[in-house]
Amino acid sequence: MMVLKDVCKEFHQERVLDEINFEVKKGTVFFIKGESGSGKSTLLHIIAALMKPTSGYVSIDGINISQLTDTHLATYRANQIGYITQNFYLLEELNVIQNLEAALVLHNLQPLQQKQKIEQALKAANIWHKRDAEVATLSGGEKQRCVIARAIVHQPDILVCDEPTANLDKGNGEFFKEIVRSFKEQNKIVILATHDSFLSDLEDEGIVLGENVLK
Amino acid sequence: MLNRFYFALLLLYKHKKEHSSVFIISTFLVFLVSSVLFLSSSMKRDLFATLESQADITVQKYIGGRVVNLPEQWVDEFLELPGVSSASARVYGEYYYETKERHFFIVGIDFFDENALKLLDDLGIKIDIDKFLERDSMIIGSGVKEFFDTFEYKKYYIFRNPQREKRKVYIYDSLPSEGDLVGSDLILMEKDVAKEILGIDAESVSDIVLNIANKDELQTIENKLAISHFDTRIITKQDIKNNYTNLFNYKGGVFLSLYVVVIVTFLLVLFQRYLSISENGVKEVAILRSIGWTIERIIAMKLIQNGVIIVWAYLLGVILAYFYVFVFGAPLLKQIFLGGANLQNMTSFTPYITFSDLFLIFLFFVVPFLLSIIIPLWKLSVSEPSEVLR
Amino acid sequence: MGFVFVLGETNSPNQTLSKLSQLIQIPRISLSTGFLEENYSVTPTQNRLYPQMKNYNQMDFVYAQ
Repeated sequence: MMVLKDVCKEFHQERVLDEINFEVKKGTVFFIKGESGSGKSTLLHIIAALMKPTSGYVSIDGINISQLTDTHLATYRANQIGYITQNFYLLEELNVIQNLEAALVLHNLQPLQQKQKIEQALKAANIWHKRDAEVATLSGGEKQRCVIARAIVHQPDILVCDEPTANLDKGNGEFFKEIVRSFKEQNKIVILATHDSFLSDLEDEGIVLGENVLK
Repeated sequence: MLNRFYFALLLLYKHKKEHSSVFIISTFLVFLVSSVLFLSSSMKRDLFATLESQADITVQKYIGGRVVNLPEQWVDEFLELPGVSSASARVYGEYYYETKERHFFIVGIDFFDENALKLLDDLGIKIDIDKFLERDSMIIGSGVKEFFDTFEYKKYYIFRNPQREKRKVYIYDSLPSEGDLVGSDLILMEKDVAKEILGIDAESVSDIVLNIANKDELQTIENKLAISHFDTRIITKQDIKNNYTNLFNYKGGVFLSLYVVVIVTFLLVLFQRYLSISENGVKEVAILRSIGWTIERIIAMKLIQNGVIIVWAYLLGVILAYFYVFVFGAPLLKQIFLGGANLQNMTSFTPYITFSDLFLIFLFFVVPFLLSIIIPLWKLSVSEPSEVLR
Repeated sequence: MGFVFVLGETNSPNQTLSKLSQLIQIPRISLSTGFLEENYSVTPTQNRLYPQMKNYNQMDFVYAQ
């Protein structure tokens, strides 16, 4: 279970997130909604352990991740988090497979095992046919699918998604939905920040950020 | 572990353009310092090796701060000193070719001495003593030969003694150029002829060299020599060694100081470069951290990348320097070490590299290189990835 | 000239130099040492390089006895 307790975040003394509280049980698809600038991405960064809250904490299965050291946080990200970023944060000069290897390299897998996982993830995200293409040569949608594949390749416990379908057509959106469903079936957590009504049927629970923030 | 190298090298390969300038400059700097060290240690070794065969003590006469000739009879006198195993007189001096401001170094040799003939034979010069003494003859160093050839002195050269009287001496043979470090400007001739050209009296010599039986008695014999003649100057083999060392340390030191200035500048540039690392570099670090790479792992990867660059630069620089110095004879650099003011010196260098030289180069370059990038790398790696990934 | 990468003492010093040096019995370098020429010629005919009469003190001592 994931618990957010009194999570606040300030940038230059301006409060972006104010006392966010919620819990997400395993097997839940949790939606974070809100207008642009309401702090969705900031909250996702905190959940994905890329950023520490100014106050409050995030705990996963009883472990307060907001107090972990840098090294432990890195391990947490490597093992438990799959993060689908809004912009395509990929190593542009590498090909699709190598980008996935960059995430898997930390898991010390046997080569065959590694290959299987990569294949599985690329097929699930419908980007297998572009596996040897250099990322820089891909279209926006293809890059997005590459990001999705990288986020799921190590089979994380929590999938954090920031506008995952913004660059996807309907067909590829279905592929993504399928991924979310399989996470749910495996009793894992999916956190989704999106404006896309196409995904709304996936929602189990949710929070609207603008309404939570005290101004 | 293998994966770690794989990724470091993969990214290094993909960013080869960015790294190539550092690699090229590094290689050049290693090449430069290696060349200087190789050159000076090769020369030093050859010269120290020649010193070993030299006499233990040189005695010179010294008046009014100048070295003057001394009577040949001192040889017999010194031989009577207990502890002196051998003594011989030397005749030598510089001869100036005024119009071109060049000088030759004339040495008088006893061509009846079997040992001298054997040494000449070893040098590839066969002396037919009758032919050699039939008319005044000389053996010239390769620098002198080149000089004479330029001015069409193919068969003989006419020297003038200090009284401006002419003395024609025929060229018998020339010394091999491998001996140029000692003999480029050398002219060997019969002692009496040398004396006449250099203006040394028949009963005088330039100086006297002594060998002593027991090296522990060196100091005692020095004292005895000083007592026997007040106006002597005594030079031991050790003094000469010290002078050689000073000379090479001085020249090598000038280079090393210049090198240190260059390298410090380069490393500062490198430091700055990593501090203001490109947007792509920052993004790369942030992406890797976001997918779970630890700071240590990223620093280790960067160190592997830079380590690979610098080790290759080191190896390439050293190998290039080896070829430059020992195969191609160090053009340009040689002129600075050997000087170009007098006769041309064609010397080649005996390949000789010590581990201490290689280690010194490593210490002077590879270590500061890695140190200068580690701080900026660390600064870069500890920044929060979220700052970039927004 | 060897193309072999030689380390340490395995490569013998230049024999020609050694023989020539033995022949003339003068420790010298046939270098004109460029910008250092005036001060650093190692030919024994030039006085400057050699240590000045280091035996003076010892001589005084001997004579004082």
